[in-house]
Amino acid sequence: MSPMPDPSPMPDPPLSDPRALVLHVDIDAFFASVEQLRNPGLRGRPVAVGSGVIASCSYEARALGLHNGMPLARAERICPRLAIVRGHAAIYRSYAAHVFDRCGAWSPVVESHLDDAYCDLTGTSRLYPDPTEVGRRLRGTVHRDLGLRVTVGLGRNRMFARLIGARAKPDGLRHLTADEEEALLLPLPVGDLPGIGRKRAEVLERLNLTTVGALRELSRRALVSLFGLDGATIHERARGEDHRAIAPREIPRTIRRSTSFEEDVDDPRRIDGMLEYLTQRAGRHLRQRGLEAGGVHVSIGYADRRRDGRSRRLPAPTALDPELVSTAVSLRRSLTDRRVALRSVGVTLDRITRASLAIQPGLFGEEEPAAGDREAREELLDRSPPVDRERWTRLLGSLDAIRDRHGHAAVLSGGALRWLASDRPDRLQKDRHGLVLRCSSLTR
Amino acid sequence: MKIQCHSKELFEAVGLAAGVVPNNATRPILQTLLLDASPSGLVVKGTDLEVGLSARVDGVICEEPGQAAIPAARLQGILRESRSEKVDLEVVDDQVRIVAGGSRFKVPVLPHEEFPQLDFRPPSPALRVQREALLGLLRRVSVAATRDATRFQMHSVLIDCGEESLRLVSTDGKRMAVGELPLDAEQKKGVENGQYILPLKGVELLMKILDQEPEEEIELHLDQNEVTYASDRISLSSRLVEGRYPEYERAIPAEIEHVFSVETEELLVGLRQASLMTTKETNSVRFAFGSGGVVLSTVASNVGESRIEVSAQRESGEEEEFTIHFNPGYLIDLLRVIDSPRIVASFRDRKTAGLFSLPEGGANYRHIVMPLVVSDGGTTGE
Repeated sequence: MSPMPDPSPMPDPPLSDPRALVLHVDIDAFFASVEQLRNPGLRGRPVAVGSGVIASCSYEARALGLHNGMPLARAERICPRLAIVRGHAAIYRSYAAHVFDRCGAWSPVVESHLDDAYCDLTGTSRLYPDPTEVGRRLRGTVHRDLGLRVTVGLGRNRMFARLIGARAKPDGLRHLTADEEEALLLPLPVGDLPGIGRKRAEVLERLNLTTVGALRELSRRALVSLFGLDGATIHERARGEDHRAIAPREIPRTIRRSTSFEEDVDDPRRIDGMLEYLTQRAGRHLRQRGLEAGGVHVSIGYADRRRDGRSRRLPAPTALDPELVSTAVSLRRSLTDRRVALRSVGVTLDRITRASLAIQPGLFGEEEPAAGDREAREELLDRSPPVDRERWTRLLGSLDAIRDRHGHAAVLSGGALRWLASDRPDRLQKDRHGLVLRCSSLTR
Repeated sequence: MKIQCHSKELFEAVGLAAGVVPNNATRPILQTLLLDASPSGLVVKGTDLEVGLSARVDGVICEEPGQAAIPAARLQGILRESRSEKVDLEVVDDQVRIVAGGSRFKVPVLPHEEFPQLDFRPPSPALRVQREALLGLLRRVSVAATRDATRFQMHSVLIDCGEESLRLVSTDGKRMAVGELPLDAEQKKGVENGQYILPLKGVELLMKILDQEPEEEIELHLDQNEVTYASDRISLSSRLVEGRYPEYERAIPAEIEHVFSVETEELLVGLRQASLMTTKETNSVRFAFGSGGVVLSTVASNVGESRIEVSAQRESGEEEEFTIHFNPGYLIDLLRVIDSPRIVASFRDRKTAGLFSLPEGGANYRHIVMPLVVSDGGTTGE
């Protein structure tokens, strides 16, 4: 007996759980606010935190037109009475941890980032019939206990929670209900949609697609042909779907270290030296957490503001500096094909996995096949010589122990020192964490 | 060229020659097979400029001698799908017409003059060896060669020709297989002592050919540049890998402390079971040799644990527990090809390479595997 065909097929089930609710907490002007808390003299004044560029600035400074990422020299010209603070990464981390601890009182699942966090409130409707009340109480607790202002956005998924939160800034709270979603999304500029960066926004704007409403005209297929697999994600986001789960991340997806130079640099040795230094910092971070990276991405910023980047997958996941550095440097060499000086350089480690607990030593020690023309062939294959993994693991273990006690800059590799020596050493400052760089993010 | 032949015989020859054809040839002519028809028969040739193979097809009626360079994959496909016993091939202008029963194909041919010259009449001296013995040893040895083609030195089998023996060696840097055949002056017939590195592709083709050949004894010609095998029906020549092979003799462990003998099949099953509880990060099996046997154990967080008992006999050494960690994949590879009911495992200590060999015939086959150095998190019961 064959089953009867269903005469009235059920409508497709909704793509997301109707009870889904995400709360997004964002600490307002995080670093600057912490500095104002620590130093009452800074309260009510325009404050910028950062070295080289603004990493965070207070709302008083924003009112004058300053923004994150702006070179400090320019900020000072705009606002001569700007108070500039170098920044205290460890203190910010500790404040952030306290804020996100308080989120845990309402949500079982908290995914925290540097200065914001997502809390999954799905299925908590019986406990908290009014989710805005949760937001209100959370904001109150954080302000009372820590003195910080946070903005809370509530929405059906993380995208909506974040988008509505951004509209409530600063020091606000908003809940986006299902029937308000379209009104928010349709007129949204394409560049503001998560998943569309500046480059993609430019592509879309050239097609005269400036709002998310217009973007919806493009089929999934068209978007995939434009942006590859990400096109399918953008197609979903433009329709208000975001299926990324809220999960406390034990393994970071990427580890990034980047900096801008004091002045534009065209000497490849200095660029590679800096890249080496940054990669070694990222490598140490990997090892501290018992992780390995399976891919390396190098990004560069030219003096004329053009940016470029390139990725490579590693043959096997690694946390060893020589393997990471040689890949990063060879990527950088393949990147700089314009005759323009560089303003910034950065390295991102991705495809991160837990480190293997067992090391497989080789039978022949260091001297693998030593053919006379090995070098030529390696160049041909763009391969670095094999690394004695066991020895490097031991060496890096010892170096990391020294750096844990005396800071990263206590021991530097020759390549990184080459950059250090060629830059004006007097302008470089060390602190507990290493050299003080012009990073946009101080915790790095 | 106009010929008629048996589909099956032609298919076999084409299949062998197509094994040489590279997947990503730099020149279109290298993706073809050269069919050379003469009154004396038909010969199918393929090459990738490193390895060349020619196979003779029997029972061919040659109406018009000639040559044709036919795309290998198409020809192979047509013959594979053919249901007819006989097949006719005729070159007309720049096409070959293939007729098999009621099926007709027209395939464009490439100018056969462009096909590289292959010469299989080696002037070089030859080794005479037992076919079965060589084939068996090649199978057991080549399993240890690296699959990474960019590490060409080790993507190979080394033929080390000594005064009284022929050694075959393969390694990927972490494990190594060494096999030995006795050799007398009669068999060597003037082949120079020394090392000849055979690329893995040539080795795999040679094994395929040796498997099909009927002769008990075969000849292997060796000179500084290439190795050639030639019989009535099939010829294979392969360029040798340039460069120096790792000093493999140094990696053979000496001063053995502990020796155990284990049943091959039982250990293989145990290892397969144990490796179910491994992940990419914890791909190691702990071997604990005790009085009654060996306990294999694995632990992988989020996956689970295993503890498998395998009977083992202590052949020599102190009566105390000995533990060592190995990547199970290496040992599984080894046990699959060993072709012996029992295997002897010898160790010096937990940091030195383990030596696996056959119960009889000591040095005829040795497989050396480097143990894993496991950090504290990855061990069990310690």
